[in-house]
Amino acid sequence: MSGRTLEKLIYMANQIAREFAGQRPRDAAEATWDHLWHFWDPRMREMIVEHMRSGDEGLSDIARAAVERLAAPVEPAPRTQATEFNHLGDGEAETMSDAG
Amino acid sequence: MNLIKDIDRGTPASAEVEQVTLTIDGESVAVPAGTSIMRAASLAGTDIPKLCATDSMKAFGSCRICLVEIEGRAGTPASCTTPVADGMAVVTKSDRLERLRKGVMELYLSDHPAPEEATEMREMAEMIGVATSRYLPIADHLDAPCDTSNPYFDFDPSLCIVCSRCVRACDEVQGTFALTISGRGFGSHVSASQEEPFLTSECVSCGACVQACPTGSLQEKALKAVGLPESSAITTCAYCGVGCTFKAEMKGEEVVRMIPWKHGKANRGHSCVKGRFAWGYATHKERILEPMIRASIDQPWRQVSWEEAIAHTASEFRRLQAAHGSRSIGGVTSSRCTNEETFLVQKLVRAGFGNNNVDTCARVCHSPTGYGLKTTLGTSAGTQDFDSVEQADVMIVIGANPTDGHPVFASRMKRRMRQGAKLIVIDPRRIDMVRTPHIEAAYHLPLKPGTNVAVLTAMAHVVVTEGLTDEAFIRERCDLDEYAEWAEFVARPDHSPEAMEKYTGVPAADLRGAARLYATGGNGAIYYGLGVTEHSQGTTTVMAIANLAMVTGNIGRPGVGVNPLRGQNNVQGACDMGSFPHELSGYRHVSDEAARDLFEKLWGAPIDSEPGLRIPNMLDAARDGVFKGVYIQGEDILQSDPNTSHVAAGLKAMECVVVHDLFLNETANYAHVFLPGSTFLEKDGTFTNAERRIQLVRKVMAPKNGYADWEITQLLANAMGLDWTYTHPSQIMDEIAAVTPTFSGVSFARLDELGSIQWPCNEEAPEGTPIMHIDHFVRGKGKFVMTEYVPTDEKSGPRFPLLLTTGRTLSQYNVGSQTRRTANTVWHEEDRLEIHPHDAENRGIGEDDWVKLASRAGETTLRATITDRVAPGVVYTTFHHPLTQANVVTTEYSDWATNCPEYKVTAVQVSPSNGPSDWQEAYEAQAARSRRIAAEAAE
Repeated sequence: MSGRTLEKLIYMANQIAREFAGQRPRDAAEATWDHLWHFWDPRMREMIVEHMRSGDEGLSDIARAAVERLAAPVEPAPRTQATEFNHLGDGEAETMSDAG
Repeated sequence: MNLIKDIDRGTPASAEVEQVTLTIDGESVAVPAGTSIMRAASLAGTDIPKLCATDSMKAFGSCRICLVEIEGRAGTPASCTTPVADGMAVVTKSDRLERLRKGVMELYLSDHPAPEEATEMREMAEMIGVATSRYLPIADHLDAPCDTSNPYFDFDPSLCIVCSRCVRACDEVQGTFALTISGRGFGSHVSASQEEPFLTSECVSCGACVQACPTGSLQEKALKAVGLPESSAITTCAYCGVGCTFKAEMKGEEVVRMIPWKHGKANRGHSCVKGRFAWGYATHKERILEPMIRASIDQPWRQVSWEEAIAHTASEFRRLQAAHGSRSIGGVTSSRCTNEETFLVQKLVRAGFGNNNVDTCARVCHSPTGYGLKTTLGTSAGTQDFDSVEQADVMIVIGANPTDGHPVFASRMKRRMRQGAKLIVIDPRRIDMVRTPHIEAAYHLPLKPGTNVAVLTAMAHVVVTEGLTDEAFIRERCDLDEYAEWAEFVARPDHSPEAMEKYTGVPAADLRGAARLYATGGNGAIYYGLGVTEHSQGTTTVMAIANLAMVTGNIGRPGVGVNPLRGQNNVQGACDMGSFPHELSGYRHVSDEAARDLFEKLWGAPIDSEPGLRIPNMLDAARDGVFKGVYIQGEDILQSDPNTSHVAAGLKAMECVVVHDLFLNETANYAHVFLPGSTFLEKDGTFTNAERRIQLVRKVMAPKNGYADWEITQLLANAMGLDWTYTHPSQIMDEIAAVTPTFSGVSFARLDELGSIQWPCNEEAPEGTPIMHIDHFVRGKGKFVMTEYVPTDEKSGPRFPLLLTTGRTLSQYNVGSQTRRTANTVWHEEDRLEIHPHDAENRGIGEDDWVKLASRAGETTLRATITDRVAPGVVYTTFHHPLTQANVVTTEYSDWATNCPEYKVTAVQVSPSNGPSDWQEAYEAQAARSRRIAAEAAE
């Protein structure tokens, strides 16, 4: 496993966590977890989880919390239009057409 | 293929709704009020002869050929400048008119006795029935010297009738004002700038004057060299994201010229120097036409048959997967290729390789647009059509340089400004849009590179704290809880322009003025480019733009909106087609089981539910020894991606790099297989431009390499065991439509019928969707996202005190593999470093001096241009030339959400140098070695 790649992954995880901390202060860890799950390939996720298990050096608090959730056997909801926009159930499902 | 002939109705269409009825030669005609008599006659099937009139420009009334008689009116008015009126009775043919027209035409012929073949002048002389002039040649211009300085067209004043069409085209259509009529009376003549040769004048070689010229005085060199065209086809330009439509005029298999198609809805009959003239790369001697392979990159290439190349590639990919796992290989799609070709590459990766390791060059340009706009508005695309600019009152241009990057659209913006629209430019450089003839931006906010989020959040602060919000729009269209939180966030004192000034360098008063203008100046439209996306906070900036549009109600109608100006011809399409490693076509995440199911059933193959690797991740994984092979179609990642040495190391670590391209590009130096590609002239398909407009690309010549690119991908797929049997790209589009809801109404037949279609095109919008989010956002309620400014970690300091930002120039295109192989190099033969006079003086640097440009990532050398276009502390260069390799110095910092590289901010030092660096010399030697082709096979 490359130290260079891991270093980049730690940087990227912290960068994502820092952004979500600014965007969604109350659930930044969850948002970071969801992002890592849906945008990082399995090997990248495994590398960051392994790093967390072996001491988590360099990870911010939010990033660490997100990676801890990555390690748990729970998956975030799949990304569908309904889950992404969180509006099914508001009677607006019919407005989801891209025809805008 | 027949020769398509345009109808020129002489003057532009009137926008009036009210109808006026008149008679022309006794026939009743109804046309919109404001229509000229000339146009009305043309619409009624009566052609009035003309020379100075053409329907792309306002009437001028100088040639006196188009005279008519009007019952009850004295004289013979010009039909081009006389508008219709109710009850008017017009006569276009009479003995008197014939006599007048013949007399005028004879005067023209006295100076120009032999009109050029296939010109309007010749046609009109024949129409009027005049072959010679009875007037003696007392004086003429036949000895006037021809200006052949421009590489693409000549100006022969001996053929010029001084009708001013060229001057007006330069003014009205292009907006450069490079031409004028100098002199008086018989000495009047067309002059480029101040009597300069066209090449060195202010002329930008857009071709509008050539197109407008009725006499052949301004004419394409190719027309003279090749001869008159025999056939033509309507097709789409393969350069920038404007997506201009052209009429490709052909003589046999040879292109004679590309004429901008006036019915093209993206370009409305205009063009730029690239699309109009720079297609010669298609026949350049360096184009590779035979497949080649080699065992290792230090060997020369060996030309092989297509069968061997494809079988070898498939065998290598399967070997690598067997040895290193199914995820050890991947593919890269191209924004230069068609939708159909892109769709096939991602299908090959997903259904053939069995993983989602597919990415596209949008990774390094507009990936933050996709993420940011989908999050806030619900769709990964711009909201408007280009025509929308005609109703914009205030335009913000941020991080874009339209006159160079999107010149045809820039002309439309400039025209709108001449009509009174205001412009706000947010850019570290004083781009041409800030001030050029007859236009001037109301505000230029010259921010420090990397502070877009701070500027936009401060603008939102002004809007919210000064009560400039559109409360009704927000209440009806947006999530109110999120809005309330966001409004409280931006209203904080630390987001005020005054507080932000220390980061941005933008005077607070100017920023306040700009925010007020955007919020209160009428229809507000935001246009942006890579100066927004290519930052650590690229996605955040896109969301800040969406916030600003929503809070001012500037979305969902003509004249407003959020408009990403896409860099390449098919960036939008490549993204739409499922080129990203986490998304299937139509932006559906691979974790969406229902979406996967649709593809699995159609393709008969399982789709991985896990996201794949992005390009930078592929390179990291390659250096880690787990990613071993890649199929790269139409992209030069070595030259275009950041930190060149890292890219090189990643490529070098792979065992099978397949480059599918027109030329042995820089990436091919590290390739094991080269598959020669086809140009846009040699294939059918579609491109999707920046306004979501899907347009047909039509084959006008046989592929010189033997196959269209989609066929090559199909050969590879078949060799890997997939049973694809496409015989035409229209079948691929049918498949795209079947699995992509936003494309469900698109087909080649429908595109033929409508000319073009803006997606979404489905049952609800059978003819497409010019403006999005009209009644509601695609995501339901508009989402305000808090945009905390986070300074980039790429900091200037004592070692690297300057900030480098990069961009492109008018005559060149991205890594230059096409434009460097055309005569466009006369305008830009090397990348230059723009540096402010103060910074240059401090370093002892003079104009044209060689300088070393060093960053934490690497160093290169290039020559300096000293200019106050850049602010002190900022330097700028382009990345068109491989020997400069500007990306040797750019870093791997990237956008937090998408990994789009931070090309726009690199801390650098600049110092005097003697010439090319050791690295450049070594690279050049290595590239030359790598491009060797084994002699025995090459013969």
